[in-house]
Amino acid sequence: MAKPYQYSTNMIMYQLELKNISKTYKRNSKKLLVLDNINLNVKKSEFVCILGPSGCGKTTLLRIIMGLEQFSSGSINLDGKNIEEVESRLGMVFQEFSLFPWRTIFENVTFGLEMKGVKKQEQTKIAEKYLELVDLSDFKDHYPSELSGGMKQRVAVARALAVNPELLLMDEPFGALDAQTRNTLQTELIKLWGKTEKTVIFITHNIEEAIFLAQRIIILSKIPSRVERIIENKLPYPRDKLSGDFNEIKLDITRYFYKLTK
Amino acid sequence: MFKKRIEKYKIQALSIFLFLFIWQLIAQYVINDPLLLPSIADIIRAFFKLSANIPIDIGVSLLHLSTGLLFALLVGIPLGALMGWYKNADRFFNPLIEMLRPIPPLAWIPFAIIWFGLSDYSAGFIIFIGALFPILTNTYTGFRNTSNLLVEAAKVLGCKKNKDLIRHVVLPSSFPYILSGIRISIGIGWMCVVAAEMFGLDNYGMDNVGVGNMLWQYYALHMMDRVALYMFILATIGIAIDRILKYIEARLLKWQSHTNIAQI
Repeated sequence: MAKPYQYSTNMIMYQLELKNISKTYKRNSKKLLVLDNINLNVKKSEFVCILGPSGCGKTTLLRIIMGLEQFSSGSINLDGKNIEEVESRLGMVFQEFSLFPWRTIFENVTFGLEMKGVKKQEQTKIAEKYLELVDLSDFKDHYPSELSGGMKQRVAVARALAVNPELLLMDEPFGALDAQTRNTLQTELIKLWGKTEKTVIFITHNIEEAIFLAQRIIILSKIPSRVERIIENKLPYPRDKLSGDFNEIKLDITRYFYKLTK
Repeated sequence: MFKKRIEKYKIQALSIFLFLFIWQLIAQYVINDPLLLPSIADIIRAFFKLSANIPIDIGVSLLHLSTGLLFALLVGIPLGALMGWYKNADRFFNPLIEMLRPIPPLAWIPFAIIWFGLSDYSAGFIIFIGALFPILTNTYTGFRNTSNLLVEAAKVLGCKKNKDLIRHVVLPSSFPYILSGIRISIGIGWMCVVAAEMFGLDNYGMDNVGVGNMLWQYYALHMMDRVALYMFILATIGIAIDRILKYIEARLLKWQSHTNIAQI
């Protein structure tokens, strides 16, 4: 018999729940297990980093959450409901530059709004707000080919946020950028997260980046990937990469990573 | 930089001038037979004699070109799109196209006459055959080369139906391919004009008009200065069309990083 207090424990609901997600690729009649029984719960407004060695299936996991790829077994719940295909409540920023080159920066940001059938006036208002937020208002009439890599990814973030997703998936978005731009964008992303309070799942293989950004770091193993370790990162924001606490965590994860990938 | 450009055109102008000059010398002093090689002076004289007719000739030939081209676009773009997007359509149409493509457009002339008679339509048909394949294969390639990343980015932003993906992603991303396909098609179509007009046509109710038609007419009369004149007209119009299209292309594709209007 269910008792009232049991309901109340269920009330602490996770926004996103991955249950026993496994993924097998079939190639030339050989089976390759990429994801092995991944369990992951993400709370609303949480910033989670998934950290793993290159080629470990991090991107596959994110694409599965986004609905761009099928999974072999398990289930994904968003706000307690099963999701299977591309879900409009999720937004995504890709690793490669994915702006539409034939659209101006402004038109890139309004793309999702057009698809939703939002009125022109409203589109302009929203797009201007998010371009302001990523500090690119001056470039709204430029084409992506005229922008630097860092600017392109900022537009991609604005474009993803413009449709107001509940959860933002980011697949190594700063991986292709130089170190300095990367640092700037990390700081900006934390500010943006503070302002919008979106849930963020961020994939990286950069340990420092994960510690700088995330409240929780999920470490995946090499293929077949499983969740190896979960680290709660309680350092206060904004974080200082040069602080002792920061480097203590960094050293700890680096050692762990070294053992993991050896 | 500007100085350099003048310098560049200086050499180009010199090239043409020298060519015409040597031609004139050879025609006048070496060959000295207007049937074998009319001189530049002969051609210029012919131009002034015929200048009243030339615009009409060009107009009629452009009409033939437009007829053929219009149908080539109407068939080529949708078919190329279909084959580029649906694997099965590709499998179905590809053998037919591979079979028809190697046949030179001129080989269709007998059937064109049988089917359409000695009419403007048969000229249009020859041009259609010549113009069809470049636009078709370019559209196909454009659709095929659409970046999967952009398609996924669009899906993530709520553009999920095939129809919407084609309209908002695949078509604009194929646009450069389609435009250059149209340019190539027009070029080949224009080359087909001479052959397409070689048999006398209705010419929209007019006698003896059309650049290709006149070229053959004057050949029959052995007026080689006029034949050469019409060859020059073919070249000039061909270049003009190509330049205009390149300009339009650059304007429409200003989002492409390497398209620079100033370079044309």
